[in-house]
Amino acid sequence: MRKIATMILALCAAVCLSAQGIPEGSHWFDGSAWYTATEQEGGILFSGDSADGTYTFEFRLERTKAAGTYKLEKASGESIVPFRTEYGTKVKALGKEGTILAFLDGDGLTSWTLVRTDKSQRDCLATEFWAKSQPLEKMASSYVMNTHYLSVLSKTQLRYMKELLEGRKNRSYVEQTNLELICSELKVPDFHRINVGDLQALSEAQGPNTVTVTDERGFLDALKDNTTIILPEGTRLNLSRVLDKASGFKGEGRAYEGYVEPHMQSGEPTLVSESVFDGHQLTVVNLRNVTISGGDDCHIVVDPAYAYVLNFVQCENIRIENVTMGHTAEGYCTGGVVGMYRCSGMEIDACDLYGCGAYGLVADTTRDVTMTRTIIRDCSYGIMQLFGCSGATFSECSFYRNREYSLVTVDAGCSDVLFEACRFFENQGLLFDLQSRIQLRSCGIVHNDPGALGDFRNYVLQLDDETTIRIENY
Amino acid sequence: MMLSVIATAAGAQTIGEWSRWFDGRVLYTAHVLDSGEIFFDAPENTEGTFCFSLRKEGHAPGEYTLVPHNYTDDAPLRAQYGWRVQYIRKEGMYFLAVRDGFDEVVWTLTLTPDTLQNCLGQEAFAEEQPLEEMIDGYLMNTAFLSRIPKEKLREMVSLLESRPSRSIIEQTNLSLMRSELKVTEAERRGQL
Repeated sequence: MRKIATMILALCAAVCLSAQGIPEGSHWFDGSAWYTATEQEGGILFSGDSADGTYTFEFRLERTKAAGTYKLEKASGESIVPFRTEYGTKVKALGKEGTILAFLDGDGLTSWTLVRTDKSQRDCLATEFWAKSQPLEKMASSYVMNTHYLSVLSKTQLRYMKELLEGRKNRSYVEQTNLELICSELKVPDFHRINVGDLQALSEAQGPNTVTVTDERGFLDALKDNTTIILPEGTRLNLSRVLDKASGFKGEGRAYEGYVEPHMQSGEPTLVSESVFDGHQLTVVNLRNVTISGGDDCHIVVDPAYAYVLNFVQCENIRIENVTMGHTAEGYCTGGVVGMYRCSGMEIDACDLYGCGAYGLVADTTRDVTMTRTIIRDCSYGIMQLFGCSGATFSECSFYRNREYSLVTVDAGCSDVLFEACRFFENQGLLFDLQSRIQLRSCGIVHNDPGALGDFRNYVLQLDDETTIRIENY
Repeated sequence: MMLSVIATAAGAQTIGEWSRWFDGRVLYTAHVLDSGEIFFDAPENTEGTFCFSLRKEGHAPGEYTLVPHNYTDDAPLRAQYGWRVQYIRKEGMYFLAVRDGFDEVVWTLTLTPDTLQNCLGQEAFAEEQPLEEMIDGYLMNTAFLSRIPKEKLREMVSLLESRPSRSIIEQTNLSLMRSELKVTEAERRGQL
């Protein structure tokens, strides 16, 4: 009896597996691109074209041990996959016959869907067009949405649908898939959402490129979206060697002198050799998803005392790690080390920002600044200036031998500024010049002037019990 | 009752440099950029302020598209980039209507010669008036509507839908209220 039951179960599993399989030659639609699935050794190859026929996409799904689940893999070295996900991500077949493929994001939420179809691409696009004209409430339950469908909705509308679906008990798999898709969509910036499926999105979907550079020109060439730039051990880049030559700033994505604003408006990643009083500074505009990672003893410097070493404007998700930065000029500078204007997601880790350099960091109208394990030292005006910044966290940093004006300036437009396990010592000047609240947790302060700490009675400076202050002559 | 603000540039066909636009909460100033785009900004210390840009679409008068100004910011005005923005000049009204993919108005900005203080004063006065008297004489905005319970909004929608012909103010208010009904309470209260 048990044997028969086992056989029945095995038979059911086999039927299920077959039902959830991806048939040879089947067609799949993601709201824009239309794919054909073909069996390939060890997996299934999906190849298709974008709606306008401009792009050809390919990817592979590798079968996993669990029935109806796959792993997203690259089809070939040059293949492009227009998904907001990474290779290796999990893909689930949904529905009784596995007619929906759900691509999961890092949080396990469906971030992309493919629906099996018997229709031509033209008919699929017509259906998609029709769906976009239907009431959201109706579509939320009856239509497996896709990223293209959701991209034309505002976040306000997405939140409305999310609330609607969350309020439904016993959600169908269509509703559950749509809910996950909406939650995932809400995490994507609007600008990326509207560019879904175009070249920009495609280049992002390919994941970061890694480039090793050893000279200034190579460094400029490598400053592109979605790139990890490796500076090998002992690299010394003096950017002034290339910034003063107009010839290196001709062509697309480069500008020699002139105003930065037009490039901000264009939205295109642009490297500007920006004129300052005594030379040029590198102003990087509209760059996204870039990591600059140094090996041991890596330096980036500039000659002009009025220049920032690196100045970022309207950049997003930039990380600089393990690099020493400063000016070759000794004495007093009026340019800072790192400048940020209208940026977000900026990280500086394990760096040494030294003066001169008027300030180690000047961040203006910037969100989500994270500085960890970094030194700001010997700056001639102060440690940092924050203007209109929201979410600035400094952890395990050391700020020392800086002088001589307001050392940490935080204006009234800032919010959520936190110093955690940071050390301030051997500085000279007013330590905290604050117009909005900052928090110090587990910090250590040694200062030479009790009258120049900032107003500790004022609510704008919040210290926890772990923070220590010592007055010492030096 | 007619609380609509008298336009400063009657007959103007385009959005003018330094023209001011009030959305019920924030007074925006328009700047015409070299690229032809219109950039709107407001004092940074005003709550609920956005910066945004409009791009002129073809030769159709008053037709614009919402485009990113700051690429890292989400689209403003409860909208998505790429949505249609109409500069409506009709029946003595001069205002911008931001429309969603279903062509419903989700946001309005009225051309005004006034200061922010005066605009807010008019807004406060409008809020004290009976809603039934406002729906055909006052161009509403999301700040005004966010203070009205959805139940009352549904009543007003039914009332306007029952009217055989509607003025531009009624049409816009109806559309604005329909879209307001599809905004979560948390977002209406500004609690996101």
